[in-house]
Amino acid sequence: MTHGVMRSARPSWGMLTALVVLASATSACGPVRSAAPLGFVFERDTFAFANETVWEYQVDPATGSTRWSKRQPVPSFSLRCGNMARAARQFRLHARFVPDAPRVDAATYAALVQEVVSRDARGRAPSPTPVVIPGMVGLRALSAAYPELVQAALGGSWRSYLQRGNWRMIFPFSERHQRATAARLHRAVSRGELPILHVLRYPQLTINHLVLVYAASPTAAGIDFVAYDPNDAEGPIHIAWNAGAGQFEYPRTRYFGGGPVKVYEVYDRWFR
Amino acid sequence: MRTVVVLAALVTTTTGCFTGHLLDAARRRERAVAVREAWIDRTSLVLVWDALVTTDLGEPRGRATRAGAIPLDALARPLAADAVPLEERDRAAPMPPQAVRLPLRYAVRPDAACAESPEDPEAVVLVPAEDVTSSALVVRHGDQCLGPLPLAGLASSSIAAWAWPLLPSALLLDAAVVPPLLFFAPAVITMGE
Repeated sequence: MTHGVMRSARPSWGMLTALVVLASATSACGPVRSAAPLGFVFERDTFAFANETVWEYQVDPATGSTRWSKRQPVPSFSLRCGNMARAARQFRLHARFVPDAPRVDAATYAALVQEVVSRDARGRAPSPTPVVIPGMVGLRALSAAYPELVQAALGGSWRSYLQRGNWRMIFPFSERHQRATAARLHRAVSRGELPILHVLRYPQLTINHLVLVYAASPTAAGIDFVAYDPNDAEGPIHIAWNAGAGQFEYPRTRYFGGGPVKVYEVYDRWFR
Repeated sequence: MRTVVVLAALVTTTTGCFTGHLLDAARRRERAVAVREAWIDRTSLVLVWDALVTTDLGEPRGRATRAGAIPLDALARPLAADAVPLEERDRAAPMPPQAVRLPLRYAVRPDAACAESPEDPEAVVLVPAEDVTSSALVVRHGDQCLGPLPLAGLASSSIAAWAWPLLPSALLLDAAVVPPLLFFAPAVITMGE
């Protein structure tokens, strides 16, 4: 979803009215379930493929300034960072991989994947009745064996465009909010939860992205958050919380020059 | 009719509230990038440092020299970057009469910084890190080893002075163009979402 995904997010009367209607029409949040450690392992619990960016980025290694141009040919699987971060969490919550069991056919795997991604993405604890996926070590193995099948189950880019928490990005993010977010994230990860972050620099659209945080450790400057970036299937990224400055800092990647960003959690409450 | 057209154009082309964008554009952040001087008296450590001034999004806007005092009591234990009790000082203000200037030294690790040094029994020792915000200071003071004090704790933020005269206009514009944002923003910002 990096760059340009949410150009439609304008503070129009229509959108704001829709938000108010949505907020008043949605039922109250259910009780928060207690969390249990989810033990996320990057090499096992992420997708074997990456979300491809619509744009081709050239990041200046010296300055971090970024230029972009339309990618040709147009990528077939893009603008799905939200879908992938969400589904990675759903697989940890609602799926149990049984590698020793015999493999099943593609149609059965398709049905199992569909069952997992149709379950609650806002849960915090593993499901007591997980979907059993035989013959696979984890999501990475499954998505490597059946990439098209898994990509189809993830749904269209509209899921990222219309992510329920997008309303929050048009409001300012105070330093106090960012400090509270950092503390909350640290607590959540310490409990073994897998928070999903919306990372942005709105109204700039140099980054507008969703990542899944799965580890954190204190540093001299603050906290080092380790995250699964759906745009990168090779390895995790490190998002630094600079406690002195009260800012999150996103690393330099092939699509972003690196630097301060705002973050907020999504898929954590009924209205986000 | 012209007013309606202008307002409609603004509603469909703006990205959020003007007031928020004005304050974001005017926000200046400073982070310490080099320590120039260190002084110590009986109660506090006084530092003078070079700060990199950036926008809220990290774009450089220059450098500044800053000074501040930290109580020695607070340095008796390692400090978190967001818990540095820094009292800002005027750079031009004279140092306390009993203050002694400490030499600046470097060490690769905090424990090495604390090692006794016959040449510099009293010194401020910088323990650099690859990321300057993770660098820290250790103070050798008598038989004490104070800190480490993370340089990230010397960060600050402010709103540039030019923004304040524009604030009433921005608020009025928001009230006319995006009143729902103006209505909801205080609740979102102050009470949290």
